[in-house]
Amino acid sequence: MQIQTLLQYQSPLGVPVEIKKQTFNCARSAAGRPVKKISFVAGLHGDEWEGLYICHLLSRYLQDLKTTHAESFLGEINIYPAANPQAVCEGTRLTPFFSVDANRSFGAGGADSLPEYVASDLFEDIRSSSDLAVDIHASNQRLLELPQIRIVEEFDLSLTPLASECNVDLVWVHPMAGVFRSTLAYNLNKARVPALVVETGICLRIHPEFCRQVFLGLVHLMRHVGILKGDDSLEFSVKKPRVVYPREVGSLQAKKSGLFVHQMKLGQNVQEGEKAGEIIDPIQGRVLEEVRFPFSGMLFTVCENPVVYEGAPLARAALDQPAGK
Amino acid sequence: MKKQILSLTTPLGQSVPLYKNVWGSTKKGKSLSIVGGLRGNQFNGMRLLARLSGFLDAVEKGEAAGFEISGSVQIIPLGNLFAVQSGTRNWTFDNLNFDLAFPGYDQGEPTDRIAHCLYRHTFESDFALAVHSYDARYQELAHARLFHGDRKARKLADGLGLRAVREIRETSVSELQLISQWRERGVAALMLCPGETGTLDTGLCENLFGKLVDLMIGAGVLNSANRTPEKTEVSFYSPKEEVELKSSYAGLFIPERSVGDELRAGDKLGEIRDIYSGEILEEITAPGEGLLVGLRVYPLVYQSETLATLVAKKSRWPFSF
Repeated sequence: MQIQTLLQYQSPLGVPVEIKKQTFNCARSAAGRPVKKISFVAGLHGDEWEGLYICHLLSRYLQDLKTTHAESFLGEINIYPAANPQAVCEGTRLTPFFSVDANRSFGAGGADSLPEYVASDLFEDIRSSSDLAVDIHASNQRLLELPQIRIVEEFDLSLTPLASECNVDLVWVHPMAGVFRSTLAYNLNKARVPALVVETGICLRIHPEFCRQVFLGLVHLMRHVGILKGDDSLEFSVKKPRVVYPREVGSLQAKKSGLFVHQMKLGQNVQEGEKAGEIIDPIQGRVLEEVRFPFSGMLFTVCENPVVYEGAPLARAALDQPAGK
Repeated sequence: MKKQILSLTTPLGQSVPLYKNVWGSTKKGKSLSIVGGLRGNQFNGMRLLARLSGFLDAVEKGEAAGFEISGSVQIIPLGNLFAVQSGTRNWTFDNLNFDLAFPGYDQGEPTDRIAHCLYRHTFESDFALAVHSYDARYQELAHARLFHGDRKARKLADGLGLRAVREIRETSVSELQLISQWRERGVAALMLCPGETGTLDTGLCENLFGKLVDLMIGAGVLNSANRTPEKTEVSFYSPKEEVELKSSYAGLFIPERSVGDELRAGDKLGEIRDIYSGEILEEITAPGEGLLVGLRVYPLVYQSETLATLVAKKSRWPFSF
């Protein structure tokens, strides 16, 4: 394994800020011959640590494999475990000092600020190092997510077959929104590098069981696309995800602002009309809303932060029946 | 007249209203919408819109001799309510860049709802202005911004009479801005950048107030028997007519000029010093003649950060950037 610094800039203290990547080569690529390349990116949002741990699991496995089964490597594997190192060190979604969302800085077409310049160089490095990329995220500070892959509708045909090999519970094909245009994955897909977006767990925490599930899925993906050969050191069965389209996703939103108290569990099958929890008024001691599911389905997102405003997402589910039927 | 256009409830049950001020009637003449407070620390914009609202109230009551509202004007002075309340650039609860939340969503969370409400109340206007300054780490010349090639907006900017108008590129990010959404709907839309963020410059606000009155007269939403809009030479700068000077070193940047300065090639703008030794690491000089429109005032700088922005008509640059 090689660790390279792909980008470096100095902080006011004189300490360099460095973005590093690990590269695992195979004999063929070491000989300068073309091979398939895959990249794993984590830590664009510095408070999403599930991805860092998944990258760690990948790195440890690949380092062991290199020692024991070097012949298993058929392609090049690049891991960017902390793509936004300053934000990771401070545990913040936004890049500190600049208050910029690194995953809304791609494709701007210019490099007017340091974060845009970093995004531009990082993008170019990933694009040139990948035939396939996986960008790993952990939702936000409020929502806990079952391991899933999200795909913008226009890339459904090319990405869904790949996403289905990743051992996740769900593949969510969703409509395009303007906000995606400045993300890493969207721009990679536009540049003809298939890029999957993993969402798993929640910010500021590590869920080892989810991370292990995604890690195994990514190993399987590498085997599936011919970058790794199967080996006897890691055998496992792969879960086939449920693929859901926009009409097959139900959303439960708060009708009142208050504290949301619930007993929902990820993966739980719920029935329409069943109680999801209560929104309470902590000052008056009243229940403002008895929250009930407006759908039947399997929960893949639940709200973990109890402070909610009207309109806040409380849960999402893969519906038993598509909406409108 | 002050009208509530949205009410949001906090988790502790308190109502937080969003207001707009309206004058005149949309049934006659042209309409102008002005939105401010997209961030919680844009005090020049807040002062400017409060001053303008007071003036328009006086016009409506007949207390401003010679002025009459001939179309309709609405001002939403504080858009990003919760950020204003917390005194921060973004609302700390969601940390979203409110300027990139448009067109919003009326069933979403507070930021989505406010953005949608602002959009819904303004997109049918003939003219629209977003009063919005950028990064608190930069001193900015009061100027207008519009999307490169937007003719309607250029005409409006001409009526505003500010010395510099920057034409910006439309990008995947900017399409989520309010002025981009207005433009999509055919509104002649500008961004008015009223100087530095995080400070209050009452003299500048008074000057900009006069410019906005002139713009309203020029746009036909305000009549004046006595006032003739001041003629100012307005320069429009395309993206190619801007140059950003970046730091080659990290350290303390000490500026020696101010925005609005006309620079010549070789003029020193400031220097970067090592924080430990005080040694000069780099002197920043103008590569050609130009107008200084942006200058770093927050002294700590990373390597490769923008320290200054100069604009000049292309014919005046000695070489291309």
